Amino acid sequence: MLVLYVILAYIAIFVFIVGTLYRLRAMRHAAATFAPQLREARLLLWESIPWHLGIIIILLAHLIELIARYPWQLLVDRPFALWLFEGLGLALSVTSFVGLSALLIQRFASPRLRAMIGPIDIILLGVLLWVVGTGIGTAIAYRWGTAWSTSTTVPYVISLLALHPRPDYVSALPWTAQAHIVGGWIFLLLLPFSRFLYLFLLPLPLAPAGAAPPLEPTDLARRNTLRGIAGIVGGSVLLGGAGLAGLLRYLAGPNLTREQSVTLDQERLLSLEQATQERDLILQREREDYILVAAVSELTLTVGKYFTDYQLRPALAFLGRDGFPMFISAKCTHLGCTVGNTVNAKEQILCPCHISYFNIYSGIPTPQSPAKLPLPHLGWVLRDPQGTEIASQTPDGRRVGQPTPAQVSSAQVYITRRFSGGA
Amino acid sequence: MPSPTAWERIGRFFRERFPVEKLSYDELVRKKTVPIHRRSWGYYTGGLVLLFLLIQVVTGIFLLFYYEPTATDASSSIEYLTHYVPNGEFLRNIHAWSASFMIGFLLLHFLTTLAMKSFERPRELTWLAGVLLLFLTFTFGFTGYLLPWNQIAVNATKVVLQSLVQASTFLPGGLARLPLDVRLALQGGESVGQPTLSRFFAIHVVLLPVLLAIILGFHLLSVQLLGMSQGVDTPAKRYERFFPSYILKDLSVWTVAFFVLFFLALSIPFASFLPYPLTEPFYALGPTPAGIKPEWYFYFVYYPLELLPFPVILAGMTVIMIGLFLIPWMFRKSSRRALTALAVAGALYLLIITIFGHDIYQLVRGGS
Repeated sequence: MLVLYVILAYIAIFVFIVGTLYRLRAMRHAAATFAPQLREARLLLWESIPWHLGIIIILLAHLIELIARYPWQLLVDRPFALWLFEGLGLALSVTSFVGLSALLIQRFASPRLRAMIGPIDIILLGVLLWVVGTGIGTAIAYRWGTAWSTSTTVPYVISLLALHPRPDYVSALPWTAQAHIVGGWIFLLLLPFSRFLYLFLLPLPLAPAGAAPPLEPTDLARRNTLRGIAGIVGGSVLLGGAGLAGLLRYLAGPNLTREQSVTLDQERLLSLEQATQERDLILQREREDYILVAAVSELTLTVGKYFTDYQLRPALAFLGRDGFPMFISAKCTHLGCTVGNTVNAKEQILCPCHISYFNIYSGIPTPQSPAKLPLPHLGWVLRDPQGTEIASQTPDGRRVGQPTPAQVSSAQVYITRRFSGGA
Repeated sequence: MPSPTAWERIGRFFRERFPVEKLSYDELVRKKTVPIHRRSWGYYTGGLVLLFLLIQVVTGIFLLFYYEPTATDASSSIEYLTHYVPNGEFLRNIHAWSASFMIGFLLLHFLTTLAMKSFERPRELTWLAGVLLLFLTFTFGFTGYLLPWNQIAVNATKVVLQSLVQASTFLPGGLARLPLDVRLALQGGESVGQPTLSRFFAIHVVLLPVLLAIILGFHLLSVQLLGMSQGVDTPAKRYERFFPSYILKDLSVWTVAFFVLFFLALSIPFASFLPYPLTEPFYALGPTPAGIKPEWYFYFVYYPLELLPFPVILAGMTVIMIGLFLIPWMFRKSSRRALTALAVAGALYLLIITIFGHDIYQLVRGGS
């Protein structure tokens, strides 16, 4: 494992970088003499383009997966994306395999090209076929490689680059995947010694130049225009067909299972119940002069009970230090969010929207808070279990009535229309 | 020779800026050319905005087949569309991603046309229409944000509408009433509720599209009549034909943009950027959850609003909004180099505040 996945890997990377840089300097001459041979090719469309198109996108995908491992993971967590990437990856691998095979056949079929190929080139092409072939084999036999590679091959390569090699990430992979990786390192190792380094250049500079007479600009423009229009029409037909099929399914709607229908109807019912509750609150405020908030025994010093005032604005009911109820507006004086109902150790409640802390006894915000105005207090009325008013407090804190603590704790607290302008 | 009357001057002004005599096949198709220079890429930004707008219109129409604009059912209809209807999530995702792309490219279009001095005489009216379209697009974003009727949607809308109340406290005399009336007109009641949803829905799907169609029609027609602006200080040496060369290139760019959008919509649900409590159905009687924010394209005003005194932002925004309309006259004599510097500064501000706004806020305020 150490030899294949660490030593070979480092040697391959080193040789590839140094060798390629050296060869690129010498390539100008090599490409100039070698590339014209290719210009004889009539099959550029069927070999070079599929090969380059397939391999460049596949290599780019490998690279993106390596660089952006976590976004990639996020992507392939979506089943649609996973299917799409698997499908595209396989299609492109096959495309490049076909293109590469055609290139090989052409090289062996043409005596002039065959004469230019050395032993190292033959080995390299064999390795390349091996790498692409094992890649396809892995994709078919062990599906979802776009997902599982993020926790195997990607951390392995990252560990190499971080100079903390971890061959254990890949040592348990199926043999096709291992062969693919080892083949990849061998390919990198050999590439700088081969004349096929140019294969990894874009096909554009190698376009035929000598065989056909140069096109007139107008012919070129016309041809490009026709190609463009054909592409647009073809693409539109394909896209339109697929889009229409998807749209029909969308418009036809889902075939729900019984459980799904039940869940949906329950959710809708809940929503309607909430709406009924809200409408009931409105009606109650229109009809009643007193609205029950809570029994005093339910109130606490630290967690407020939400209710709405006569204007349907949120408010909180606490138990004050003196054992009487304490009502405070819960509508933040900054931008109107509803403040939280839990009192912290500093006797403050928090508006989470823009982080304003308000003292619950004074209503005053802390100086750092974006809210500058205090939360107003609300008035209340206490009634005993028989419904007799035993005490009340106005929004500005004036209290009427002196009930005993026992009377208070058994009483119910209300908001009243006569104090409703106070909040 | 008698000096021209005011009416004649007005007529001449509009004839120069809206030369309807060029409304012919020859002028619009056969003879039309596009300058080629190092800033030519800027010409494609407007087309991309149009592409995303078209996608918005088409996907928006199909979303209407399932969306129910009532406070009781809006959220559940979105839930149904997203989780049960075949391709529903995809269509909603495209609509949401495309909205962001549209605004992103609209800002880029605005900055590039500013840098290219595309507002130069006789294109002042084209610019004015463009600024109106910019505001309309932001209004589209604002009104569309409420429609899912979830926690973040309703609470963020509440915050914006409440800021109108705050604005009124800084305005003098009778003007102070204006933001309150606007708020009431939009909100339709004491608090955000069904009347607000009905209003926002009507504005989003009827009023704004009609306005947009009219102004966009004017904008596009004037671009066609006046041709592409020069774009660089020294006139371009090369030109290409609008049809077919430029159109084909434009369509190629559209194709790439569409596929990027397609893959994003397929792979990443737009709502995945929000934690779940914020996408829960709105419940009027509960507290506001933490993390209420507008969409990213409002961060450029949201974070300054968080950090600076409200009157400063109010005054600054008013000046900038008026200034946008006056740019053709304010910068009439400016060089493209100066305008480019201005546009780059604007772009940097937008990028920094959008990407690092929260970090800056934390740095200044401390804590979250």
